[in-house]
Amino acid sequence: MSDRAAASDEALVAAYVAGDAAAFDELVSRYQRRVYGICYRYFGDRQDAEDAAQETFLTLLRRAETYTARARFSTWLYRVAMNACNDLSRKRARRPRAAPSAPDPAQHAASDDPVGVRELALDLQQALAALEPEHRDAVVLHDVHGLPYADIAARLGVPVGTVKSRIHRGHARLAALLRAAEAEAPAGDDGTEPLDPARPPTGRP
Amino acid sequence: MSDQPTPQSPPDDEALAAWLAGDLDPAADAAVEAALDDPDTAARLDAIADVVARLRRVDEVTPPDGFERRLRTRLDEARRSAPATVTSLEQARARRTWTGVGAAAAVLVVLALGSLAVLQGVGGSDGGSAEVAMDDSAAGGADTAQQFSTTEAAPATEVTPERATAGDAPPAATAEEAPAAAADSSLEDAAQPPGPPQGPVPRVPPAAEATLPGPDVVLDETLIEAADDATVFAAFADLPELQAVMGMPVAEADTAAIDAIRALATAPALGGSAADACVQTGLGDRQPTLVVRVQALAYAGREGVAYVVASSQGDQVVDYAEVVVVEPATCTVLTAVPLTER
Repeated sequence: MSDRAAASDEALVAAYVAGDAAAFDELVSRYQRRVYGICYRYFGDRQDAEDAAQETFLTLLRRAETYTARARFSTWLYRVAMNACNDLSRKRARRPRAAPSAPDPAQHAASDDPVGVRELALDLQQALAALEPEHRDAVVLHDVHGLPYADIAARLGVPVGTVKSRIHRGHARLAALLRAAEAEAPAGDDGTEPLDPARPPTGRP
Repeated sequence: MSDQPTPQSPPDDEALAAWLAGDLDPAADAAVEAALDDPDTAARLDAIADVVARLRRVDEVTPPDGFERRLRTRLDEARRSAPATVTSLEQARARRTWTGVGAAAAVLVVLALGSLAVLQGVGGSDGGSAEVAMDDSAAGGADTAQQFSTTEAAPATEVTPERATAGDAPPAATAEEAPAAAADSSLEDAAQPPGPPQGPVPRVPPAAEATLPGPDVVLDETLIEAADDATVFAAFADLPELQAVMGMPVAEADTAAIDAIRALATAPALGGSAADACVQTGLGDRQPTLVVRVQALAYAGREGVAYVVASSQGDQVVDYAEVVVVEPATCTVLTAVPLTER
């Protein structure tokens, strides 16, 4: 394994900014698939996803020095990718669409998996089940089914701003729930009670 | 939405989630950005990013065949055309300073909006919001683009004010073309002969712009170095193009706002980034919002692009203006300075 392959993302960025072009190539290797995935989930369209992913890495190529290693590099790159998607969406006047591979909410509504989260990891399923219903619905429609804000707003009959707020609150709560669960069961099997997907939401962390 | 964070209260998780999605207004976005200096806040942001990525199962998506090859080809092309892509602020500033100071090479493009055509309703809008304006700009970029040209012999260049028709309009810059244009710009900058000594560069004198008809969008690559908000205010408070739109009826401003966005979509790159790269951030959520100037600006030592925007606080006339300074790579808001009273 080369030094670069073993290096942290943050070290690679620093090396690239210092002039090591191979460090940039390593970052591309590590993140090209993930960035494409972020963009594909946003657009639900291969060409748009590819264009936005390319823009994301062009930003990294040209502006890597703006990453200041406060949050993780992967977080910074996620935000850059989202900005690239938002910009491309505006430029093409094309609202993001549901990913074709995403499950159809209507199908799930008629099944025994009404929110369509069975594909998710168990801890995420459990955390989702603990959300307030209105937050869970918005998060699932947006993140799992890939629906854009406007479509969710129309479906739920609420303003777009309300949809955004519900989704962001849902994300915040999910992160808190997962942190709490991790703190309770750091080894994964210490006798503590896991989050129960059947338990009604309590509103508590 | 949660309360905006203050220096005394770090952003809550909801604000961090909104920041990650690029959904915050400029002031809140800047507050979150600043708060990331706190390791605990940065760690909470990381946790939220992890949750969102897992929810969307982004790592389970398989790119199409040839994706990585095409990506690397594109990146190689960008590297070849702009070899000095990673530059220090000083290097970038030196190039821009030359661009700004050298009178023969000063780049100040005025994107005229065809006021008469606007007033006559030619190519009018659907009267939508700023968000609608953005959507329209993207959809109609090719068939409503403004013609513009630059003349390097003059310190300021005006644009042919006629609106281009569908048949003769230049193609709108696409996402694929914009970086190439930016790269070309960088190459041209790098090829410039050594310029005058570095130092703060005054804005192009107002006299050079005073004759411009409004509403126009001024694109100015002359670098302004602003240490604080007061400097920003002083640089932009008396812009003629801003005065030209203050008091404009909202219905008229609706149309002009859309035309401004369309003009920016076809504008030359500014400082290596598409002129409209972060325009949505600059627009904020007031409606309508007119972009009247896009200006290279370094705020407290950080390279940025300033969007001077005007909007209406009510539903009658344009009566509010502010400058939003954005870091173009991530559209992070460095500062937002009101030019009028709220």
